[in-house]
Amino acid sequence: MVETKPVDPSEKPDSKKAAKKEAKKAEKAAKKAEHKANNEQSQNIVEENDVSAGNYGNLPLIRSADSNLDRKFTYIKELNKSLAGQNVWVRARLHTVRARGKQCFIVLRQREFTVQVLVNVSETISKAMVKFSSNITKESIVDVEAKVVEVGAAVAGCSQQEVELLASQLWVVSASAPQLPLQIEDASRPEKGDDPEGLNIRVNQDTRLDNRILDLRTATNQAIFRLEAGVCRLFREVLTEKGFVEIHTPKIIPAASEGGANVFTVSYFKGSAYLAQSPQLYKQMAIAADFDKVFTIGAVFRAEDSNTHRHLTEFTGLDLEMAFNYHYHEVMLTIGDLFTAIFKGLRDQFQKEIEIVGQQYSVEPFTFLEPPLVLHFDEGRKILAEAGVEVGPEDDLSTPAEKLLGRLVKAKYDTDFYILDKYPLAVRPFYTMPDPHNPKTSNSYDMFMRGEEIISGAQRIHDPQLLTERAKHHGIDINKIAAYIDAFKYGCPPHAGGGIGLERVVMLYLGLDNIRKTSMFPRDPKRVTP
Amino acid sequence: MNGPLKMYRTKQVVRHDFKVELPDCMYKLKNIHASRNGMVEQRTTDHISSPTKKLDIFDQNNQNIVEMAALEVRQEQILQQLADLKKQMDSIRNNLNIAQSGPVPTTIIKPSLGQPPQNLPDIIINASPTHPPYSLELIQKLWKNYVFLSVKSYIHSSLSALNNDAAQLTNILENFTPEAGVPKVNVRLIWKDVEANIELILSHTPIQGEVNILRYLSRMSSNNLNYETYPNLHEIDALLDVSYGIVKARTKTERASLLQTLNKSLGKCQWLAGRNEISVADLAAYSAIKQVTASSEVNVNLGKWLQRCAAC
Repeated sequence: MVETKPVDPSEKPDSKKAAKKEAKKAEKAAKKAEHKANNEQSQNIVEENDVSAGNYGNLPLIRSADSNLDRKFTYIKELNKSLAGQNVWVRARLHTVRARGKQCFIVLRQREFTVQVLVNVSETISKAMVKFSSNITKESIVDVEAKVVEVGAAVAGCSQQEVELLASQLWVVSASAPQLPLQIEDASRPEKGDDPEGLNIRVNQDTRLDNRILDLRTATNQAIFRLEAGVCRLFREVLTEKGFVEIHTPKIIPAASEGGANVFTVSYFKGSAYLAQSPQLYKQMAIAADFDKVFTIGAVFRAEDSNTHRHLTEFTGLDLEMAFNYHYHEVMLTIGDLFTAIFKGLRDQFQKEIEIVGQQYSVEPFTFLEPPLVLHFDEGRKILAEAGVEVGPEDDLSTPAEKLLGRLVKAKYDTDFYILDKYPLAVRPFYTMPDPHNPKTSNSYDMFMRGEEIISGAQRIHDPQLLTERAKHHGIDINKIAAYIDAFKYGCPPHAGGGIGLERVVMLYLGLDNIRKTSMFPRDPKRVTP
Repeated sequence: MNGPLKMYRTKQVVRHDFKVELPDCMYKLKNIHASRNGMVEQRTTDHISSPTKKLDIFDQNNQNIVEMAALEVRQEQILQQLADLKKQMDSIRNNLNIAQSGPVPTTIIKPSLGQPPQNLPDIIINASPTHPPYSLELIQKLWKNYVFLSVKSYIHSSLSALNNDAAQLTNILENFTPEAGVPKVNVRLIWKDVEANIELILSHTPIQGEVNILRYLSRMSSNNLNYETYPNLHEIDALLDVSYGIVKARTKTERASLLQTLNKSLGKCQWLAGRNEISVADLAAYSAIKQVTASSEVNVNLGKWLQRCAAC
């Protein structure tokens, strides 16, 4: 705007007056005045007023006053060729804005959907409106009235490629601060690593977590948490259908449920209490109380100081416990079927989300077999031995061995999910039922996704006498677990179960590399904010 | 070798023992003969050994006594192996003779059952429901008192549901009851979107194609499905390839000519390749025809043979 320079000094007092009301309006007024001056200077006066006045600006704070109640908004995802020629209202976030002479290109975003809006100087659109549009800060929420126009060439970089919007009104509903701690484009840039020409700007994990609200706006995060909700919903649906009852267990507990370490202590009036490490005891008590099949979804706390990609100090546990008749495989296969049903549900109902996540993080699609593959612990050892990794018959699998086994099983059976049955008794907790045929193994199982353990379960000992015996064998103080043992005193059906970490299932299903990506506000030893 | 036998002498025809004037415009090569026999030749210009030296086998034998002994041992071994092979051939021939005297083709299998294979491996078969491996059904039946193929089927996540044919085959395979006391092979049948490229996985490299899987299974066994010992081995192999062609054929006419080949091979006999007992070629062809052809493409002769296969 070179021509405006001469008139600037004379116009400044005017703009200052306006500035008292609101900075932005002042700017606008100044521009209006500049326009006037321009027109006077060039002797091309067509109109003295801004033709678009009243069609743009900052909307007053919406406090539910009764205005525009009958206005219908259209979702961006619904904008397509069939709406061409119609006028629509859209409320969305301003994703990017770019001014070019008498035109201003805006990209509006609603979750993963984006559309291009064109503000073009014309008989009804003033230059001032275009100027105003180009100065709206990124991530502001705007109301736009616009005509849907079909475009010749597909709009690159937008999800709605067939159409664009020609704006006639543009209002800012909620403005964003001009400085963003992270750019949404940077946060959603594909991390494929093999593209030397592409921009290499990344947002690191801590910056993302510090500004989680912005980070969560990316299409990928939207998809991840919608899928996580799906896992939870499917878990509930499948189990409810199988006759399970949802229960809610206390999170403040009087004594450590599993072992002594790894619990958070909280002050509880005059004494202290602990945060629940696992709802297991309460699940088992529900079984002893004749609930037959129960599940619970709730927070679980672990005070483990492990800073890895797969440990959190607070996570969502999907726990289930089930009474059976004669063999714990009834329960194991129920859990296996549950997983198959969840995987199928995700595959069929969340293709779009999986695809979006796949665009940012290149991951092989999750594969599984129906019914799930069940391998005996010894078979697993044999497969590992063939690959040169020896695991003793009474040893637990180390994490690298688990991962290797996952890869070998995947190569052989092409499944990312499998069950490893009959773990050695020595590596399981004291309440695990020993195998009747082999004193060294137990009726316990682990399930794996992409070579990482997601659930560890077993038949529990439901006989107080055997339980006491096993506890003594493990060197556990009987007095401390008296309440647990007492739960089985008045008769208890044989039962088995297990607990699943929701975040871990989502992380592994999508093949992400860090559990913090699948926890909305993750808690780990180094982070309790936001 | 057989002791100190000397060779007879002949009258010398060509004389070597005079000095040859070699042109000196060429470069010299080392005398390779001299070093090989362990003799150090003084006259390096002459590449022929001196006739004054004794060069019969007996001498050589004495010179390289260690290697010769080793060679002898090897020869003994080979002879022994040959003898064993001959014995095996004889026993197989006997088996076949007995078999040929059997009254009906289906009973032929029983007497010729060999030793069940040891250390049976677990087998994984990836098959597509659009091309169900019907031959497994027949093998299971033929081996019912030899080896029990214990089939457990899975559906891979690349498929959403099984079609009727595959579900039916799964049902038959999973519910098969073997005779008591037969050794068991665990077969994990994974229904997967692999189209016609059915795979058998033992270790890292898959065996591809149903025909090759049949070849593998037949070699794994030592009973009469093992066609290595057949006199018309090459014919069976050719027929297996025809079956492969039928599955892979794109047009009806292409298929028709292959079916014609099968028909010719069948002729008036009970089974393919003019045999009077079932062979892998029948299994492969049966499965291939059932997978891809419509009933109208099969003539009466082949139709009857298909029924015989199904009833075996």
